Amino acid sequence: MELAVEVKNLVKRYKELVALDHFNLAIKEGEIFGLLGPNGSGKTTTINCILALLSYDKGEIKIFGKPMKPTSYDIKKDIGVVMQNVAVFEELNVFENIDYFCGLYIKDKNKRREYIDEAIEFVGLKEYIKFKPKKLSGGLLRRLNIACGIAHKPKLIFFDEPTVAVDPQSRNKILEGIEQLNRDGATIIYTSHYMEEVEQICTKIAIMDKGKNIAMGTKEELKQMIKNTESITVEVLGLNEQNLKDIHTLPHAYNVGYNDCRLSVHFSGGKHNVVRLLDYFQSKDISFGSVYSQQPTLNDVFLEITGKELRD
Amino acid sequence: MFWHNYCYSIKSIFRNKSTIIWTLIFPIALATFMYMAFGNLFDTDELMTIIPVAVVEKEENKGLDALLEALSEEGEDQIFSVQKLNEEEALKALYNGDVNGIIYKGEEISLTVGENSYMSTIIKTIIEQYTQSEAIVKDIISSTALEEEKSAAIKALLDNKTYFTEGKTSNGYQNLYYNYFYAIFAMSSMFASFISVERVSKMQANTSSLGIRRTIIPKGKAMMLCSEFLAMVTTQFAVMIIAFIYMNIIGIRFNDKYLAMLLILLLGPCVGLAIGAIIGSFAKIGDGAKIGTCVLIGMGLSVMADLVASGIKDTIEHTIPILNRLNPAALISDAFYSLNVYDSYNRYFTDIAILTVIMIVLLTISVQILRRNTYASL
Amino acid sequence: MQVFKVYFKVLKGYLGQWALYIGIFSVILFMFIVPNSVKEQISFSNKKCNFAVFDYDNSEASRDIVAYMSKKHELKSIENDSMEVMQDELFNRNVDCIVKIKKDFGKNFEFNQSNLENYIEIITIPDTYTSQLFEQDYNRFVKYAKSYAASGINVSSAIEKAAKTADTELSTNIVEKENNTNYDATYYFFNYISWIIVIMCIITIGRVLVVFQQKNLRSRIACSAYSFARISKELLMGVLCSGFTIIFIFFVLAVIAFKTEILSIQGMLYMTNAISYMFVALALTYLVSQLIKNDGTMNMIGNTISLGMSFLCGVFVPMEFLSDTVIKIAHFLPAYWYQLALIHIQKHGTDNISKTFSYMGIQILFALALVTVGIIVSRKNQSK
Repeated sequence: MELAVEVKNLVKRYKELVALDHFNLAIKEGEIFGLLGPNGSGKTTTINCILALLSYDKGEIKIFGKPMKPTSYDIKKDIGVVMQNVAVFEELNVFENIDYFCGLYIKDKNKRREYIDEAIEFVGLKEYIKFKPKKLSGGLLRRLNIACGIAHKPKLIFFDEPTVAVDPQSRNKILEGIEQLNRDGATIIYTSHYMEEVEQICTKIAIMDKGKNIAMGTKEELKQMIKNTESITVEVLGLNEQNLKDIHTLPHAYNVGYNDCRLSVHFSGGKHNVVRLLDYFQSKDISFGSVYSQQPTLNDVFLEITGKELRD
Repeated sequence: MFWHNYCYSIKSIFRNKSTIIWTLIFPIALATFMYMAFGNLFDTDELMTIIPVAVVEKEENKGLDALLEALSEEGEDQIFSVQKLNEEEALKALYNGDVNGIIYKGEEISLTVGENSYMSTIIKTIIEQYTQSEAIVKDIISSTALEEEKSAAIKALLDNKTYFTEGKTSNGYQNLYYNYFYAIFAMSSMFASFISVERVSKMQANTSSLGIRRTIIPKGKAMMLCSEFLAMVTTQFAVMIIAFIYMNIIGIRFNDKYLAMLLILLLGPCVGLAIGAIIGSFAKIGDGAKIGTCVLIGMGLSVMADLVASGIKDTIEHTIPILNRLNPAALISDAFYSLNVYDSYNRYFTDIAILTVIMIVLLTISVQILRRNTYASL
Repeated sequence: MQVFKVYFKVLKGYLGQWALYIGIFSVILFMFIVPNSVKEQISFSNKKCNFAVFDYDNSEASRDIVAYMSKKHELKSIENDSMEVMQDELFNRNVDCIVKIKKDFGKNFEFNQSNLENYIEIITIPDTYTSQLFEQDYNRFVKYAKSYAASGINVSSAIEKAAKTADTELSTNIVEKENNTNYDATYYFFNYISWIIVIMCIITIGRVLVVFQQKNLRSRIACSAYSFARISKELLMGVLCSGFTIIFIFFVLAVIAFKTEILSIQGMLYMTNAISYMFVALALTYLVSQLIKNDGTMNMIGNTISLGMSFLCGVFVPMEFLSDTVIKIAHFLPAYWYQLALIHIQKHGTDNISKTFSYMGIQILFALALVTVGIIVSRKNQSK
C-alpha cells in the first residue's frame, strides 16, 4: 500500500523555540491516523507544514508519493481540511457556503450539485440549508464546517480538533461520519488531545510531545510498549503496611497505592489478576466494596513515556 | 472558478450591512444634510438680486426720485424694488427684513440699514453716487473752467459708461460650498477601505481559518485576489454611482461630463480598496484596530480635502502643495472641481494620472503582500 | 452599587473619545471663536472686497487708481495671473476681484481716449455682491476723475479731486434688525457644543449601555440578587452622572474662555439651556443604544444624528439662511429649540425669560418622548 503522507526529519523553529524537532511520520492510504499530544506539542504546526501553509527549516514532505509544495495543485485538489476554528462565511447560508467551497474544487456544475446534496445529507443539515451560521448551534456549526471541508470528496482529509466544545450527540455523529468517510476511501488524519476519541476511531496513532514523535503504532502496539497491562482499583477499609507489602508480592504487581480507602494496583502482565487479589482479601478476611479493572489508556502510555498527563 | 468566487464575493459583500452603511448611507445622509443647509447659499447669499428698499419722504427731491425710478425699472438692469412708506412702517419693514434699507429723501439724504453687509454697502454707494455727482456738478459749475469744458465735464459725469471690461475665469458653477460635496465622494472612496480590510482578512491564512481554507485550494492565489478585487471594485463603484445619482436628484449641479466623472468614481474607490487591503494584511493587529486605522486615514485625508470646513485644502495648497498632490481625497475633489470650472481637461487628466499611479503603487504593494501562501508563522 | 461602579469602569475605556472631542473643540474655541469674538459695532462701516492687481502699465494714473482702490478695499497678492491661479483664488474666495491693467492704460486715460475699458479688465465671479460693489466703486471713481479732467484740470489733480469726492460718505445708520447675525463668542461656544455633546454621549455612554444589554451579561445579572428596577436605577444614575460630568467639563472650558462673564445671569441661562439639551442627548443615547448593537454602526449613527441635527437646526449655517422647508423639518428636532433658546438669550438676555424657559421645556419634552420610545423598544427587545 502506498504511503498517503510521508514526513521525514521535519524541523520548524520559531526563533529559539523548536516547534518540530526532526519529526517523522508515515501514514498509509486508507488509515484513520490519529495525532495525539497535549496542547503545544506541535500537532497543528505539523498539519500546517504538511499543507504547505507554514515554511519549515528542514525536512521532506511527500503526499501520495509526490513532494508537497505550495504550488502542488494536483495534490491540493485531493485534500480536504476541517480546522479547529469554524471557517465559513457569516453572510452566506449553509447551502451557499458548501457550494462556494465545493466550487473551488469542482468546476462541473451538475457534479457539484450532486456532491453538495450528498455532503448536506452526510452531515444531516437538510432542514437547515437556508440558515445563516449565526442561527446555528455549536454542534450544527461544526457539521457545516465539516461539510465545507469534505464536499469535494477529497482522498486525504485533515481533521484538526473537530469536536472541541461540541455536545455529545453531535460529537458521536461527527466520529461516525469520519469512519464512514474512511470506509468510502478517504485517508483521515485526526489530531486531538481527547484520547477517548482517538482510541475510538483511529487505526494508527502517533503520540507527539515537544515537537517529537515519541511513539507510533496501533492502539494495542502502543499499549504493549508500556509496562502496565491492567490497573485494578478496590474500595477497601483498614489495610495496613503488611497488607500492602503482601499485595506487592502478587505476580506481576508493580505499583501499589492506598489512599482514601482506595487501593490501586498496577499489573505488568498476567491474567486473572483480579481473582488473585480478591483471593488474598478473602484469605485475610478483609471486606471490600467496588472493584474496578481497567486496561491501560493512551494517557497511561503518554504518562509512562513522558512523565506528564496528556491533558495537563 | 474566477466567476464563481466573484459572484459569491459580491453576494457576501452586499449582505454585510455595516460596510454598506458606512460607504453608502453615511455619505448620502451627509450630502442630504449639507445640501439642505447650504446647497443654495451661494445663490441666495452671494449672487446679487433685486434689493428691496423703502423710501421715506422728508422733503421733495426730484433728482433722487428720477434716480430711484430709473433703478427700479423692470428689466435686466433693475437694482432696487422701491416702496414708499412712512417712517414707522419703514422701520418695521426693516426690522422684519422686508426691506434692506430705508432711504430718507430730502434736501439732505440719509440711509438706515439693518446690518453691515455687502448689500447695505451697495445701497449706500449707489445713493452716494447721486449725492457725490450733485456735488461735482456744483463744483464744476462754480469753477473757472471754460463753458465747453464745463459741459464736457458734466456730460462725462452723466454718461453711463463702463470703464472696464469684466472678465471671468470659468463658465462653470462657482459655488464654493460644492467643495463639501466633492469631499463626500472622496470620503466615500476612502471608506471603501472598510470593505477590503474585512475581505482581506478572510483571504489570508495568517488572519483567519477562512483564509486557510481559501489558501489550500488547487489554484494560485492570484486568481482569487483578482476576482476578489474585481468584486470589491464592482460593489464600490455601484455604491458611488448610487450616491452620484442621488446627489443629482436632490439638486446638486454637476455638468454633463459624465464619462469623466465616472472615471473618478471608478479610480477613487480602487485607491481606498488598496489602502484597506494593505491594512488588512497585518496579522498582528486586531479587527477593531484595523477599522480604526481605516477611519483615521479616511477621515484625515477627507478633512484635508474640505470635508468639514471649506478652506483647508486651499490653505494646504498655499503652504505645502505637495500634500494635495499626494492626498487621493484631494485629488478626487480637485478632479471634480476641474471638471466643473475648466473647459480644458488638462488639470483633470493630471489629477487622474496621479490617482492612477497611486492606485497602481498601492495595489502592487498589496498584491505582493497577499500573494503569499506560505508563512513563517500562522 | 455594583452596577453603578461597573458602569464607570466600562466607561473609563471610552474616555479617550471624550478627550478627542474636547480637544478638537478646545482648538476650535481658542483658535477661532475667542479671537474673532468682537461683536460688531452698532455703527455702520463699509464692507471691503479682497482684490489683487497686475499692473502692466505702471503709469501715474494706474498707480493712483490702485492706491485709491486699496484704501477702499483690501489689496492682496496672488501668485500670478494665469487662468488657473486666478480661478482657484476666486473660487476659494481668497480674492473677490483681480484687476489687470494693460500697457498704455495711463496714456489712454491721460489723453481721454474713448476706449479705456479695453485697457483694464476686472476678473471676478460675475453677478455677486462683492463683484458689483468693487466694480461700482472703481467705475464711479474713474467717472469722477474723467469728469474733473474734462473740466480742464490735469490728470493727477483730477484723480486727487475724484478721490476726495468719492470719500464723502452718505450719512448711514444701523438699526438692528430681527434677523441679524451679530453674535459674540459665547453664542458660538454654546452653538457648537450642541453638536459635540450629542456625539460624545452616543459613542461613549451609548456603547456602555450596549455592553450592559448583551444577552449573556443581561441573563447573568438577571440571575443575581439584583432586581431589574435596581439595575435600571443604577444605570440611570451612571448615565446622569456622566452627562453632568460632560456639562461640567464644558463649564470649566467656558470659565477659562470667558472668565466671569459665564457666572452672570445670562451665562447661567446659557448653562441651563445646555443642561436641558444634555437631557435630550442622554435620551437620544438611550434610544440609540436600544436600537443599535454593533460598535461600528453606533459610531456612524452617532455622527449622522449629531451632524444631521447640526446642519438642519442652524448650528453650522445660521438659521436665517436656511430655507423654509428646512426650518419646518427642524421644528421636529430638539436641537432647533435649543438654538431658539440660545438666540433668544443672546439677543434679549434676561428679558422675556419665560420664552427662554418655554424653549427649554420643549427640549425636556423631547427628552421624555425619546426615553419613552426607548423603553418601548427595550421591552420589545426583551420579549424576543
